[in-house]
Amino acid sequence: MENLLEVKGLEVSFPSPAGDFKPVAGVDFVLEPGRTLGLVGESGCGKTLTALSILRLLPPPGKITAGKINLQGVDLVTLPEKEMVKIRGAKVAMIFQEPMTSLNPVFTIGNQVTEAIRAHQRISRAAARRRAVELLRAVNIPRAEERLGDYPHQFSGGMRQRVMLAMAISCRPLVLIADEPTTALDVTVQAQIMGLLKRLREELAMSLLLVTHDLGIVAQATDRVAVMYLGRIVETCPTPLIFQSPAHPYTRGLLRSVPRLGQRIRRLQAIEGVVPESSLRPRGCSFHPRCELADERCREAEPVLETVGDSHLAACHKAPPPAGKTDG
Amino acid sequence: MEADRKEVLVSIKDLRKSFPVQKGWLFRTVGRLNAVDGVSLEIEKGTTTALVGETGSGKTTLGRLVLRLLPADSGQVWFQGVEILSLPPSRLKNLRQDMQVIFQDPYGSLNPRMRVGEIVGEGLRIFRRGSRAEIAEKVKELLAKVGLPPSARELYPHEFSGGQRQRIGIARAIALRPAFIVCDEPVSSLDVSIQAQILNLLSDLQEEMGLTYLFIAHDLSVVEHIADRVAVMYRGRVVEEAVRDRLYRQPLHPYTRVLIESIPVPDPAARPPSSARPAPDSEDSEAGCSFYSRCPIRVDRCREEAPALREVEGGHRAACWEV
Repeated sequence: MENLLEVKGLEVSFPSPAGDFKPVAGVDFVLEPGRTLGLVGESGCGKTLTALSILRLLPPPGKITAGKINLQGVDLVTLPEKEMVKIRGAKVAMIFQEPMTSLNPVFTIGNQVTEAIRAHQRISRAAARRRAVELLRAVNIPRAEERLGDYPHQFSGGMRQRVMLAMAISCRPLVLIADEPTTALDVTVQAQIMGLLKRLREELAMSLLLVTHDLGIVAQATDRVAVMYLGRIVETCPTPLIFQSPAHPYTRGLLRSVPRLGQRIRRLQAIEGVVPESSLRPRGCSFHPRCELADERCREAEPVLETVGDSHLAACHKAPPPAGKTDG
Repeated sequence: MEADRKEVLVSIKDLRKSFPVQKGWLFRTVGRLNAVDGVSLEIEKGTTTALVGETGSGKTTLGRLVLRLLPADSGQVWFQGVEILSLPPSRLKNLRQDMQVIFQDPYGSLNPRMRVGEIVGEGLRIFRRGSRAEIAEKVKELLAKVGLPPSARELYPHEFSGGQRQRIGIARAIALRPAFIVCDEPVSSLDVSIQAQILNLLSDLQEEMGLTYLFIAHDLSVVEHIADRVAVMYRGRVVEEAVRDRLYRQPLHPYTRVLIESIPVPDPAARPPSSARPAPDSEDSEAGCSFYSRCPIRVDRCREEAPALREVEGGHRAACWEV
């Protein structure tokens, strides 16, 4: 299938007196049209920076130092800022974890939604206003017309995330990036927002890059998943496979440590140790200090992503080789 | 009361707390918000009682009232046979040895200007539990107990990760060998792989020291792993309370069911989380059930009369007309 968005060898560096440190150190993935890719990992693994790189919104002094980000064959990494402005919000849109801080507290909701519309479309204020009402209705905000005059603080967390979504879809983007869109919300509200995201993705035929730490969300909302650890993708495959036959020890550890409803066990199996700072990346496989399978080879040589099954890749020396067949 | 029930360590009776609601730039008080609205609960010795609810349900406020970190408007809290809300402040200090707390935010709850050794040993110093050398030795033991190296004593909190800071908070809480610890969302700001480590540590310490926990959380799948009993709060009231397995297998209150069904299951074959009634779709009446506007099984009576928490069967309590 043709790829809509292709990220290849992406590297993000932050200069520091002790030498550059690379929170994203060689990330590859593809996003197919109309599909949802889950980017999964724990705090500090570089998933948010990867997402921000696509929009070229890295916090300074962070810079993309290597790699390509192809959107419909155009490399966003080398695109002049003037052209990038036309991509941002129009072709690729993003919503963030904190719906509280993503909206400007001193402007009304109507103001902010119409601004998003008029940034990319040459239409009158009145037309933009009508469109804003439509958008707020599309994200299920009751009494949309009246609420245009309200300020962000008059909205609940879930309602603010709906407003963010309305702004994000205002230009019918090809790709929507959602960075932990429900992490700050209550579980009942989370279910509503995830349902809404799914419906909008289908109706608008968007592709969704869903950044999350929640394997429950991954299972329910994604087609494919990429697991990140210390700035690299350690495993990627169609979503059902990650639950049936995870190949990387880190993925297995993550799955084991999630408490599951209705499957109470006396002790949760934790992954021993802690995630090292990304400036102190271990030699060889970066997971080896926490890995029970690690041996001499893992301490010396860094594994690369290799096929372990049908469109299933893992970066582990100990991953089982592809079962029998050579190629699909 | 059932015969096989254990000794009750903490007994909460009709506890209430309201906060003023202020509006406008003069902050005029326009009403009162009943954060905790008549909660009664018993916590058995050596067990974990979980308090579950969403943002604003009053679960954290309840935890603070029980510890008397916040003054209650009315009600009683009995702890080891003493009613603590009416105790004079002079007797409160001694009580603090037996009741401790672990906070949600491992960043904000440790003084950044104190070394870890001072943080963990502060209680021991205040209650004069030994000489300097003895306290230093004790602190080393405590750090070992929570899985930190002895060298941690000399470091400051910012030199630790979130999970390690939570371990420091736990070492501080158990230093005086308390009987009762309120754990206020102790794992909700941690990554899953670290979350499991901390939950296991809390279980181990409970077994070893005979601790009683009031475990406040919003995540029902975490609670299932640690709790013996579960109380579900909604808008300041306990709407359902039961032993863990009953609550998860046969939830009675519609709100509990909505909560359980909303959790995304890490299994692609599982049914997707349901989204019940989106937002409140009708006005709440003062007199009626506080869940009325979101309830999928409401009847007319629910609007007029608030259901009380009553025992349905075998220690399983629920506040709903339709069960």
